[in-house]
Amino acid sequence: MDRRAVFFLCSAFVCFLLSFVTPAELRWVGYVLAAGYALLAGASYLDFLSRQRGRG
Amino acid sequence: METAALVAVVAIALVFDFVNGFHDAANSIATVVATRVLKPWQAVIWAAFWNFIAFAVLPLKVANEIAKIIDTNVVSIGLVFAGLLGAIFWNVLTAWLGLPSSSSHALIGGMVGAGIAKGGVDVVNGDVLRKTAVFIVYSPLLGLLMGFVLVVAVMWLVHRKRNKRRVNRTFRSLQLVSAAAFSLGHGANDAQKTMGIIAALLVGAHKLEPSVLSEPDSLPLWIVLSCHLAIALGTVFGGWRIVRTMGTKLTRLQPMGGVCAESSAAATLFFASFRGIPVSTTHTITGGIVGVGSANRMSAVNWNIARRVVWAWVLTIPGAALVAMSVYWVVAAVS
Repeated sequence: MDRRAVFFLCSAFVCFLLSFVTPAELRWVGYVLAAGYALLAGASYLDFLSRQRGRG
Repeated sequence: METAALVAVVAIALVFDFVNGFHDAANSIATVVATRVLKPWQAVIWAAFWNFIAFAVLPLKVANEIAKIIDTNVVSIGLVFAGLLGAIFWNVLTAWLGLPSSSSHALIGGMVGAGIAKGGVDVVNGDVLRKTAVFIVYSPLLGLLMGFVLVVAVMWLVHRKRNKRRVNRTFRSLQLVSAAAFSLGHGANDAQKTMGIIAALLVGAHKLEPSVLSEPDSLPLWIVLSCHLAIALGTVFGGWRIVRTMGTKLTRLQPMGGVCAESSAAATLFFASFRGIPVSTTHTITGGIVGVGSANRMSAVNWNIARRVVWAWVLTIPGAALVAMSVYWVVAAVS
């Protein structure tokens, strides 16, 4: 289990949820953060898989 | 009598600003002192200078937003006094309990609590409060994301360099820039919170025209200068406290990580200041540091501290609001 990917994924989810209560002119911040964290979660998981393969 | 009370409350607001600088001095100078780029006294002067000069660089939008958080028609000397006292009491209480607390959010919570106690929830500007509340979560996450991306990008750029000593020297020099940028952002965002409170107080007392709150950069110069001076002096005195306690806690910091963490926190503070969003400087630098740490491995981050910060996010505004409400009712009963 990659803890870092899980943390980034949770952050993406929180930012996405928060964007609904963010004032309209700043809603894009929530979307950008959610997308950024989702991307990092994916990248972090790939990094985790490559490390696992390296060990195996 | 009213003028004397007004002067006293303005003085309390400036003391609050001083204490804010005193508390946050560590954030600005920790890395440059730890890596011996600057001597402690030089770092203190460096940070205080950028704290002070921030008024000339960044717009006063945060001050305008804070001033409008409570309907100025109900703002009175008693209300601001209760708000400030609520924030101070909350800061002292959390310091005593060992909980990390944001002075900025305590101030906002105090004003909101005192406002609700006087005029009900209708007097609170929902938009400003909502913006502040969501950025309690967004600002550290923004700092974390930028810190992570920046440190990964920098590591990728420098990993082929053979002369590691030269790389280290470059980042030691860059720390001067990142520490200055962070101090600039700190001075701008935090001093403006006090400016906003003083402006609201003076508008409420009919000493200032309400129009100064709608035009950025139209606040009287003495308010702007006194708030920046108070926070800069706080940094000078708080910095000396850090000098005394300098030791093992700070020695693990590396110049590259310090530059990335401070730069990402500074970028977050600049963004917030340009958009008129009050954020906590402590939260942004914490986000930057966690981002840099998590780029290496998750266990590099002290998650116990991160958990305590989250508690502070949740508790500070409602906690300070409750204290301010109680203070306001006592003040109203006495007067």
